[in-house]
Order: sequence, then structure tokens, then C-alpha cells
Amino acid sequence: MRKSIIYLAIASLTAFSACSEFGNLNQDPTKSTDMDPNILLPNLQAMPSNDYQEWHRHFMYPGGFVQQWCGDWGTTEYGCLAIKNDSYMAELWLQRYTRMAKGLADIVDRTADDPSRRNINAAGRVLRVYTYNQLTDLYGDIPYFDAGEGYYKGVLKPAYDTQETIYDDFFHQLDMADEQLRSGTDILTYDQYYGGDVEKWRKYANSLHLRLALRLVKVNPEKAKTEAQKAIANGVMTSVDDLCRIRYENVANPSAGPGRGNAVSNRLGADPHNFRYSRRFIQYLESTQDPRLRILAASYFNDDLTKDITDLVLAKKGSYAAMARATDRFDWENYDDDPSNPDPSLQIDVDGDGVAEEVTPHMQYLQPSKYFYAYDAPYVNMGYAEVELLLAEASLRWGLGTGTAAEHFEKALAAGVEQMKVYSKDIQPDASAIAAFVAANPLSSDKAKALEQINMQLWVGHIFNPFEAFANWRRTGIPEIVFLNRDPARNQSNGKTPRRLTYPVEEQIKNPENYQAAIDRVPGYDWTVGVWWDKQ
Amino acid sequence: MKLLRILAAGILMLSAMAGFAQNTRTVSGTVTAASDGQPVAGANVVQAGTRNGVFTDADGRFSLQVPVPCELIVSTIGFHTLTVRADGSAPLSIALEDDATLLENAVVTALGIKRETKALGYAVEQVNAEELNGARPINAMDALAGKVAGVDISGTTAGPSGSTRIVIRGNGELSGNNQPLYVIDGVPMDNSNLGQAGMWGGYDMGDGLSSINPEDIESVSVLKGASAAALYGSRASNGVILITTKSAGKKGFNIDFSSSVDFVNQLSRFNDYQRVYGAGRNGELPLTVEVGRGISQSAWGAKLNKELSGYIFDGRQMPYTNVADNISSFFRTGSTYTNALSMSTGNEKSNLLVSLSDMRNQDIVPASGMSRTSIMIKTGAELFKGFRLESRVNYSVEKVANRPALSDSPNNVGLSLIGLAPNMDQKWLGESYQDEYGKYMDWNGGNIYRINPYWSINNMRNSSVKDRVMGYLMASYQIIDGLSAQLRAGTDFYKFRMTDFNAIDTPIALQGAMTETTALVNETNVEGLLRYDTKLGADFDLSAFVGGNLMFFDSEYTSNSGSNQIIPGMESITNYIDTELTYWHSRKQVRSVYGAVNLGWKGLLYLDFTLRNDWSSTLRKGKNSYMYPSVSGSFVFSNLLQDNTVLSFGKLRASWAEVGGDTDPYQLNLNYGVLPYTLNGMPLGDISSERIPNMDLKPTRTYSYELGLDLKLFNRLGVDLTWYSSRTKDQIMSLPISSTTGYSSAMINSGEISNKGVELALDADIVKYGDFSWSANLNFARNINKVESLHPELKEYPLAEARWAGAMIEAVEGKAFGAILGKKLLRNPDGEVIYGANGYPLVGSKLEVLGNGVYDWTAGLGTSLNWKGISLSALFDVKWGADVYSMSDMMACGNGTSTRTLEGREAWYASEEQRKAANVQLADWTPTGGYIGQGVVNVGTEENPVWESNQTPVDPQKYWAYFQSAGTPEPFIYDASFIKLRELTLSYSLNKKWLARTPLTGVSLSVYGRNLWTLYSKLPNIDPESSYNNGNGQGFEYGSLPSRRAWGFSVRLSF
Repeated sequence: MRKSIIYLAIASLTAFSACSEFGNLNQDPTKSTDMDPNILLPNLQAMPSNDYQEWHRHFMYPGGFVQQWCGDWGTTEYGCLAIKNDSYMAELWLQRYTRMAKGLADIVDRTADDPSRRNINAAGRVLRVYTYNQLTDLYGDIPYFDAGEGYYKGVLKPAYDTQETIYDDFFHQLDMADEQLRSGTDILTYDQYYGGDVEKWRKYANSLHLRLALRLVKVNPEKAKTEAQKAIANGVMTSVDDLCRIRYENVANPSAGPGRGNAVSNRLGADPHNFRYSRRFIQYLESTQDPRLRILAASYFNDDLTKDITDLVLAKKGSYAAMARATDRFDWENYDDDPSNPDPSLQIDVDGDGVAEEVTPHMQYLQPSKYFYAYDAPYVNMGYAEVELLLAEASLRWGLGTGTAAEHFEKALAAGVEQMKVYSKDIQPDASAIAAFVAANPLSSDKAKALEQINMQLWVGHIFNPFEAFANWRRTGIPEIVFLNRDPARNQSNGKTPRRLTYPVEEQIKNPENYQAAIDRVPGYDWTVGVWWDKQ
Repeated sequence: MKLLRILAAGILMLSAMAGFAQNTRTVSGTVTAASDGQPVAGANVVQAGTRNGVFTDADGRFSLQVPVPCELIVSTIGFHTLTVRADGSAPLSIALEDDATLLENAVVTALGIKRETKALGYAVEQVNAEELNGARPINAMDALAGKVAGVDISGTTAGPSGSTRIVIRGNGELSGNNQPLYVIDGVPMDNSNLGQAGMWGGYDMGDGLSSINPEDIESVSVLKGASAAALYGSRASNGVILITTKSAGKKGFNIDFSSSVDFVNQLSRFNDYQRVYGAGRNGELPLTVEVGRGISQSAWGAKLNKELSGYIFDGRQMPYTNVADNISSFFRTGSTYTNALSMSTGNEKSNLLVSLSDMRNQDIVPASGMSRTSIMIKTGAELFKGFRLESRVNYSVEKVANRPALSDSPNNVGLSLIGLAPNMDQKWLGESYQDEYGKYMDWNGGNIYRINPYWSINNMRNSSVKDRVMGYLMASYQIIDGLSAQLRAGTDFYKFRMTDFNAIDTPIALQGAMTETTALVNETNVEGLLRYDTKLGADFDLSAFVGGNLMFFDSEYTSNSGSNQIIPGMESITNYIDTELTYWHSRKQVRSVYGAVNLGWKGLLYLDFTLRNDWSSTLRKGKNSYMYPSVSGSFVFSNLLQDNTVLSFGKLRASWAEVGGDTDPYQLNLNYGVLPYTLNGMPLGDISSERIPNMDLKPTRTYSYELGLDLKLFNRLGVDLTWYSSRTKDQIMSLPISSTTGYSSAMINSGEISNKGVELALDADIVKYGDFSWSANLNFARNINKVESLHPELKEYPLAEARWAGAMIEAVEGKAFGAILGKKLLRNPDGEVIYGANGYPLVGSKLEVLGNGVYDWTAGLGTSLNWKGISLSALFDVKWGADVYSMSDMMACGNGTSTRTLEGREAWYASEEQRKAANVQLADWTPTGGYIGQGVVNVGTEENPVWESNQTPVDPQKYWAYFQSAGTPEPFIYDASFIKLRELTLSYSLNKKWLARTPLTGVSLSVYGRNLWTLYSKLPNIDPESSYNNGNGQGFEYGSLPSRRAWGFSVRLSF
């Protein structure tokens, strides 16, 4: 009896310890140690525009600096008043580096020397340039060559590379991409931008090349010209169909983090809608007879957007400009800027039933029209109209390209309106309106004026891409921005529009030496100091 | 009783006389406890003056060959040693008298082995049922607060459904949770958090401890140091809490019934708010509907005046006057009803205990509450001689309705209520949280991150159910005398299911959202043990064992998130256009062998050695095996002193131990995964590792030693003094690294943290006079923590980040764990705050240490008065020397509700009047009054500063908003020290004589209170114990709910 029990005990213990799966237990069954880079691609394409907090990155600072918006608290408080908030300033940095950098490094590094994966490698390079371009333009010198390489290279404290070397590499990367896309044979199986059309990828890469080339007009006009020339020679976008956009689904995003809808639209459409176009923006559209005004903007009786009351309000107010307000106003400051008009609420017969209803100023002001609140509005990374504008400028500056500046400008104006149709099938711009718009805005023969016209159109076109609007303003000084400094006591930019964002505070702790070295390279480091290409 | 003893003595004397001649006989007998007649197993029966001896079996029986007549010495823990004469003529019946003092000193140690404290070389403190349950806690571990030296217990602001953080002897780990291992009846329990709030909000999903019915607990032993815990392996490096459940003890059939009810209300309330200015901005009365819509959380309006009325968010005009309790009336009086019934029966061979309990709690947050129903069955039986089976099964169902959202959650009601001006009655929010169509009504100027609290509690519901089975089956067999074997298999299995529902039109989920989460967690341990106890000669006791354990951990988590509700109002995960599935599966196995040798010499010297080796599945082959020893000893020097009246007991103890540790699963490889949804039909792949994996991780090591002194003076005053030191090296940590690496952290082996400290426990019988007694106990612990080293390149390890003003909690090399860092206000060499010309203080650009969130020392003072059946006891809890960054206070200041915001308002508004009268723009105006910050301005140069006192008035509304954007938490860092009256109990036990003619054997009644009174706290409005989570980064408070105070009544009946 005793013996048998002992044997039993020993036998059962041995049985337990004999389980052979011990060694395999430490592999997560829901994860893989390998992945086709084509599966990584679509996520990286979506990340710059599907994270709910993207509105912080887009609008709080860049959007607030370029005076396109008003109403929203965060935009007004931080950007319009130029008040620093470390965590909002850090958001672009933290999201792009932690969410995207490793994937970008992974795609490019793992396929670099594989001739059978030239296309996916090129797509990775283009995405990487796009991502780091947003970062360097906003922060200046940033970790670039070692960024995202924590695993492959084991670099725990990446050095901050100078913006100049980063831009040099951008051009190099885009050249490589163009070349690889010409010869690549692999299929981009899950491409969100172009459905695997490598020719369009190539045009996009070269258009991006053109955009970046023109960034350098202040700091190195020669290089700007050479690179623009190269980009044009390689072939840029030639029609609205070439524009680079990502489609979204009609699904609300969670209130934090990524989702299946366009994050910018999600936030614009948050309830209640607080974003309003600035008077300056509306005024410019109105003055140029821009057909986009009625596509981009509307007034609604309710936040459910069912009753468009734009015409009714316009009838009372007399102009679209009167239906907008100064850029540095909070939405709760619902009185007009004009003290002689203390109670600007209107009585409007909204339903046409003879009964007037009160329409508060908040609802009178022009807000994004319903197309831009739609979760499935696409996000445009780069439009064709922008390319024509950049070509117009390149032609104007250096006589580059095939057409004249005026021709490119005409194409740009038309394309700017036409490309609105990507936002909704319900947007069908009227050809005659486009023709009238083009006719009403001939490019001035005065070079300075022409430059202004071109870059004002870039400012308009980048309404949902404040990163570009901000960069283009810094590059050209167009539009002229007078910082309003409405709250001087709290202003943290000496009454000037900031020209960059400061580095995240956590870098002081996690990457102190490189952080310090980067700051030491910028005399008087602060957000009022321009980045390398933004030479004062 | 007395009669029995005389009888026994008489029998012994007779038998002694009967057998006079010396010859060898087999003497047999039974050893029982004199108090209740139960057999005493494991008692040592030795022929006096020889090594000849045996242990009694499970029935208290023994037989021994001795030359008769002789003297037998019968001894075991908890009883007075008895010497009896044996002549072999008849079986002996030996009744041992309880040794009350010794019994108190017998504690449950590692692997459930009960040992005398005098034999232990390390600190073990035991808390018994009465001490634990006096104030009827909902969560048994919360009731340990203030009762055990060196054990720091804190809850979260979530209340009873929340989790509990217990840190024993300081924080030793950077990446782990620093929480002890919980072991119930020898079986480890899973105590992982299923989720907690972070800087961006969330819910506290509670932890494992809440599943335990406090009524089922017989005692709780706290094994503090690594030595005490060395046998439990890596998870025990932060100490072990051993819970022993009740067993059927007495003979016959017994019933115990207890019932209690308590009422819960607010201990901390929003009572430091200003009552002078109402809702609005810029000192103005909200005169239009539009303005009224945006000022619900802004108390920067005009002076309150009952003659005036102002617009509120829903367009109504309301009196502009103070509303008493305008915020705290949101919370209701909660209640807790607890009923417990236990039945037990037993005979010499078997016993059975069945315990049922039901607890229902309604929290002070409307619609929140929890219930727990549990059943425990514990049984033991001797199947045949020497072979015993024992088992326990616990089943509990725990339901929580509407766990409160915490921290920055948009539906955190605490956060939404912070800014209500004194004229804003929270009731109004309830009257207009939705319109006639049930649509959300904006109440605060479109701030979707502060949802109307009534919408939160009505339309953002959550509920959770946890079904848990814990139990074990144990077989033991006495192979030969002194040698026994046991095999125990224990499991802890639970299913947790939570539904989180956001109705359509919820500002953060306009189309509606719902998440169904299910977690299946299982930990199974199979343990075998072979034990040998013997006497070596007359003076040496030896006991040794070897054992092995297999631990299997498996946790599956499934979460389904639906968005865009289809049929409005139908709360089902199938009713959403879109659902996303998240699934993960975590597995781990640890195989261990261990052994121990305990040597005792003459009751004077004791020595213990242990050795354990673990193999963990979480480490790479070749690095996954680690061995660690411990040695401890004690010297009972009072045994050398004869009949000393001063020193009744004295012991010196010392120990040294090493414990190894592994890590979480899946830290070795880079992993790719796909997101839980597709976009336009395309998969979204991602590198899912957020930490840089590390193939070469090796085990973490903790080394500790301790010295202690136990004294009992005049038989009245007990002193227990401990000094300890521990070092944790080669920590496996997920080192937070620059995000530019692409990862948030890297898995590394690095760093060293030391904890040194002293613990003192005193207990005194101050007065003993007839039926009256007064006793008190005091415990004190001081821990000094230091982060000795971190990493060759990185010197700061962030533990938590604050939502506002860029504050962090960190482990900084050379400093104590838990430092609160933030940008500081600049000060001149005299320490005065430097102001800029604009009247705002200047803020530095570097993060500097502003405080520490870990308490310097903790103490508890318990005292009780007893007279006949009446007992009054109180427990005071003191924690001292930590700091807290109160973001609630920052919000209250920014919103103008804090009393601090009153200064300068009147003057500023007067200045504004003048400015407007003069028709001058703000930028061109020199204010005549306002808030003037106390400090200096530099009127000299940077090189040669000249300090003059600051005289620039600023708008207080902007001044108090300034710190958030300027990024300094400094003005909102408070001393978090507190003294609390934790428990108060008045109980009365009926004299048993009075019950003689009833079926009852005991009746006791009590009135009790928990968390009754904060005697000392410097933190305005908020209870200093208001963490929003139980993570390592303690020292932030944000949007806290009021803390809870409970008063109750209970009755206990025994049959």
C-alpha cells in the first residue's frame, strides 16, 4: 500500500514535468515573429490620419498659427494665443515615433536588398519621407537615421540629425523610390493609396520631392531649384486622379486612438461642432469667387446638419465674411466682435412656415460642411492642385517645367475645385463656375503678386492640412500673418507667431545628451526660432 | 473541566503505582486538547532523558516501546508540555492544557507550516479573524491597514469595487508591481488587476482580493522579508500574505450566523471651495443664454447676490446665490448589508464546514454598487490509518454595477463636478442632461471631455461579473513515524465579464458604443512534499522537507468593441454596425524544487536553511533556471535566565536570503500582429511589440537580511524590533526609452534598488483589574529607499506621467523611488519666487524633484477597553511624509472654485471697470489691482540681478490657469500626510450563562465604523488616499471621488 502510493506520487510528478511544450510556451499564440511587409503598409498609410487625437496635432498649433480656424477651444487657447502646452506640443512626436517609426524601419530595412521587393521597399521609403518630413518641419533637428531602430540597431538613444542632412536624405530616398518603382515587379497587395498602381506611386514620390524642394527656397535656392528640376523631370502628378489620398469608412472612431474613420473629420464633427472658419479664410474665398466656399462651408440650424441655413443667414448678413469671425475667438464668446451689435442672434424662418426661430451667432458662423464631418471623408496627403501650384512657383522662380506659371496656375485653380469631388459623390463642381473662377483670377504679371496668389491658394488648399499651411507660410511668408496677441500677459512667444514646436520634455530624461546637443545647435532655442530651412 | 484534570492526574498516579518493576512494554495512548477534547496530531511523545520518541498521528494516537515505568514528555506547539508516568498497563489518555501565550505565538509560515515564533529567524506577523473583521470590511485586505508594521496599504478612489495596493517594506522593483504574493491555505492566488485607470482615465477593475469573503478567514500571516518568503519563489520577493481559512474545529454540529448593516457617506467632501463668486467669466454675471451655456465649470463670475439671477447652461435663469452642498449633494448615502452563515460538523475522523455569505453594497456614487455571494466547503477525512484527504472549494460571484470612471475619463463624475460654482446646484445638471428627445444637452461649452455627470451615470453604464472558483485537494500520508508525504493540487479559476455601454449621442461616442470584455484566468499549482521530523538525542529537534511545485498560469482575454448602434436602446453587442475583436492569451509555467532543514537545540537555538530552484518558461533556455538559498536563526536568550520577573521572553533573530525572479511571458522576441479591424477590407499589420525584446534576459535577484529582537517584559509589554536591508539587482525591467527608438521601452537587466528600514511593534496590557482590561498596540515602520543604480546610460526611470503640467513620477538614480518631478518655479538665491514683468512667475525648463509620493513612515495605534462582555476598540492609522500632486486642486484653481482664487478678484474687477470706463484696450492698460504674486522681480540684469518685490497685478482667472499651460505642478503639490481614525468598534458579548437555556451558545452585538475621521490632512477637498490606480507611480490625484466613511451595526449568533 505505502509503496504503491509512493510510486503513484512519483509517477504523477514525472508525468507533469514531462510536458514538452515548456519551451514553446513563451511564444505569444496571437502574434507572429514574421510578417509580409505588404501587411504592414496599409496601417502605416492610415496612421497619420486615423488617430482621434490627430486634431491636437493638426489644429492646436499649426492650425492655430496660420489663422484658418476659430471657435475650437484648444486651437484658440494654444495656437491662436501662442501658449505652450508640453503634452500637446509633444503629440506629433510621440505618436509618429512610437506608432510609425519601427514599422517604417522594418519595411525599409527588411526589403532593402531584395530585388523581388523593390516596390514595397520604395513605398516604405516614400512613407518614411512623408512622416519624418512632418516631424522635422515642426521640430527642427530630429532623430532620423537611427529612428525606429531600437530593435534592429539596438540604439536606445538616437542622435538628433541636422535638418539639412535629413533633407538631403529625403531627396536621395525619393530618387531611389522613383528608380525602384520604375523597375519593381512586386505587387503592392494592400495599398490604401493607389490600389497597387506603382506608376501613381512614382508620381506621388516625385510630387513630394517637388514639395520638399521648394521648402528650401530661403535657405538654399540653388538646391531648391536642382531638386525641383529633378522632381519635374522624373514626372509629377498630372491629373486629379493622381492625388494621394486614403479612403475611410463610415464608422466613428473611438474617442482616443486609431479607428476606421477619418480622424480629422471625427473631431470636426464632435458634438457640439465648435470649429468655425476664420473670417480671414472666408473673406479670401469670397474675394476670389472661389466655388469651394459653398462646398467647404455652410451654416446649419442644428448640429445634426439636417437644415442648411447658409442662404437664409447670408440674406440677413449680406456677405459670407460677415458670417465668420476673427481667428482668435473661442466658441463660447458668442457675441460679435462689433460692440455696436450686442445681440447678434437672428430671427429666421428656418422651416419656411412663417414662424421665425432664433439662430444664435454660433450657428450662423460658417462651419465645415457636412461632407467634411463624414467619418468616411478621405484624407488627402497631397492633392494635384498643390502640385500645379508648386509647378507654377517653380516656373515663376526658375522657368522650370513645361508650361508657364500662368498655365499651371489656371490648372491649379480648376484642379483645386475639381478635386473636392473626392470628398463625396454628392460634390459635383459646376464646370462653368470653375471656368468663371479661373477667369476671375488670372495670375498677375507682377512676380511678387503672382507668388502671393500662388501661395494664398496653397494656404486655402491646405485647410485640412495645417502642417503644410504652416510650413508653406514659414517658407514664403504668405499669407502675411500678424500675430494678434489677444492675451499678452499669458502669451509665450513675445507676441510673435511661433515657428516650430519645442521638443517633448521626456527627451530630457530619456535622451538627455542628444537632446542637449540639438538645443545647443540652435542659438536662443525656443519656439520662435525658425528651423534650418526657415532662415530669418 | 477541573474535575477532568484531577481525574486524569489520579489515573496517572494510579498507573504509576501499579507498574513498579522496570521492563519494556509498548505504551500507547491518545493526546487530546484539554480545552475541547479534540485529538492533537503531531505532538511529540518522548521518553524522558532519551531520544526515544514518536509523534502522534492525526487522531492524537501514539504507541512507543519504553521500559516501564518511565516518564513521558508530551509536547507540541500551543500547549503546555506535560510529563506523565507510563507503566504500560492501560492506554494513556493525555490531555494537554492550552498555552495561551504560546498559542498566540504560533504562526502560519511558508507552505502553510505552523511554527512557533520563537523558532523563526525572520519576521512574521499574524492578524486573526477578530482583529480583521471587527469593523466588517468589504475587502479583507483593506482591513489590514494600520495593523501590521511595515505593510503599506492603500486603496483607490474607486471605492469598494476598486483594487488595493499593498507594499511590504518598500518598493523594490521598477517594472513589477511590488505587490506581495497571496496564498490561501497553501495555494497561490492570482491577484492581477484586470485594468486600472491611468493618466487618461479608465476604470479600476478591482483585484483578486475582493473575491474572498472576510468571514471565511481564520488568520492572515504576513511574511515580510525574502527569508520568510524564500520558499515561495520569485513571486514572493515582495513578501507573502498567507490567508488561512476557517475549518470545522469543535466536535458536533455548530452554526454561526452573522449579519451586519452599515451606512456609507462622504468622508472628504468639496468643502474648501469658495462661496463668494458665482458661475461666469471675467467677473461678469451670465447675462445671455450663450454665455450661460459655457460657464457651468467656471466660477469666475460676479459676486453672489440673491437679488440677481443668471443664465445657466439649459437656458434657464436661476438665482445667483450660494447653494449649500451644491456639489456633495450629488452623492447619496450608500449602504452595505452582509449576511454570513457557517455550519460545521466534525468527529474524530472527519469534519466538514460549509460557509455561505452574501454582501450587498451601494456606493455613494449613484447607481454604483457591488455584491458578492460566496460559498465555501471545507472538509477533511482520514480514509485509512495515516492517510488523510482534505479539500476546500470556494465559489464566489461578484457583481459590480457602474464602476466609477476615474482620472481623465470624460465620464468621471468627480472631474465634472470639480468646477461647479457655488451657485450652480448639481441638481440642475440632472434636470437637463438630455433634451426631450433624449439627446445629450451640452452643459459646458462643448467640452466633450467633461460629460454631464447625470448622463454619465444614466447613459454610460457598465457592469461586471466575476465568477471565481478557488480550491484544493490534498492528500497526506504518514509513511512511517516522523516521515510524511503530501500532495496538493490547488487551482484558482475565474471568469470576468464586463459590459461597458455608451448610449447613442454620448459626446465621445456619438453613434453609441459598447464593449464586452471577458477574461478567463487560471492558475494551477501542484505540489508534492516529503517531510521528516525527528529528535536527535535529547537536545536536538530536526525537521526537514523536500518538495516540488508545478505552476501553470493561463489567461485569456477577449474584448469585443461595438460602435455605431443600429437599434437605438438595444444593449447588445450584436446591435452594432461595427465590432472589433481583441484577443490575447498569456501563458506561463514555472517548475520548482525546494527543500528545507530546521534544526532546534534545547529550545534555545534554532537554525533554518532553505534552497529552491525554479525553471521559468518566460526566460530562454539556458537562462531560465535559477537557484536561491536562505538561512535564518534565532536565539531564545531568555531561556538562559532563570525565573526572571522582568524579562519574560527574549529572542534575537537573524536571517539572510536570496530570491530570484523571472518576468512576464513573451518578452524575448519581436512580434508582429494585426489590428482588430480592417480598413477598406485590408488587414492592418503592425509590430505589436512596444518593448524592445531581449533574448538574453536573466533572472532578477533580491538579497535581503534582517535582524530582530523580541522581548516580553513583565509579561505585559511585548516589543518586537526589526532591522532589515534588501537589495534587488539585475532587475528585469522594461526601461522607458526615447520614443524615437520606435519603442516605448526596452527589456533589460539592470539597476539596483535598496530598501533599509526598521519596524517596531509594541503591545501592552496597560491595565488589568478584575474584569477590566485596557490594552494597546502600536506599530511603526520606517523604510528608506534608494535607487542605487539604473542603467549605464539612463538615470531616470519614469513610473507614471501626470495628465497636466508635465509632471512625472520616477525612480531617479541616487534618489528614493517615487520622486515627483516637474518644472519648478524659478527662485532667487533667497528662495523667493521670481516673477516676470508681466506679473506671472517664471518657470524653469528642466524637470526637477518636487516631492515624493511614497510615505516616509507609517504607524498604527490600536487600543481596546474590555469590561465583562463589553469591548471598545479603536484603530488609528498614520502615514507620514509623502507628497501628492493634486490635479483636482489645479482644476479647482483654474475653474475658480478653490478658496485660493479669491485673492485679488475684487481689485481686478475694479480695475477692469476703470479700464472699460476709460475705453482702453487690455493690452494698453496698466491694471490698478488684481492678484499680486508673492515674490520678486529682477530689475537688474541677468548677470547682476536686483530683486524687488513683485507689484504687478494680474487677472486671477488667468493667473490660476497659467500653471497648467506654463507646465509646472508646483503650486498644487501638497503634503499627503494624514492621521485617520480607521476603525472604531463597540461590541458586547452576552454572558454565556444567560444563554444556557437557549439553543444559542454565543451572542454578540457590535457597532462599528470604518474610515471615520481624518484627524490631520493638509490636502484641500480631497482625501489624501485618493490614487486613481494602484500602480508604482503613486503621488498623483486627479478628479477624485469623495472618500467613504461607514457606520454600522452587526450581530453574531452561534448555536
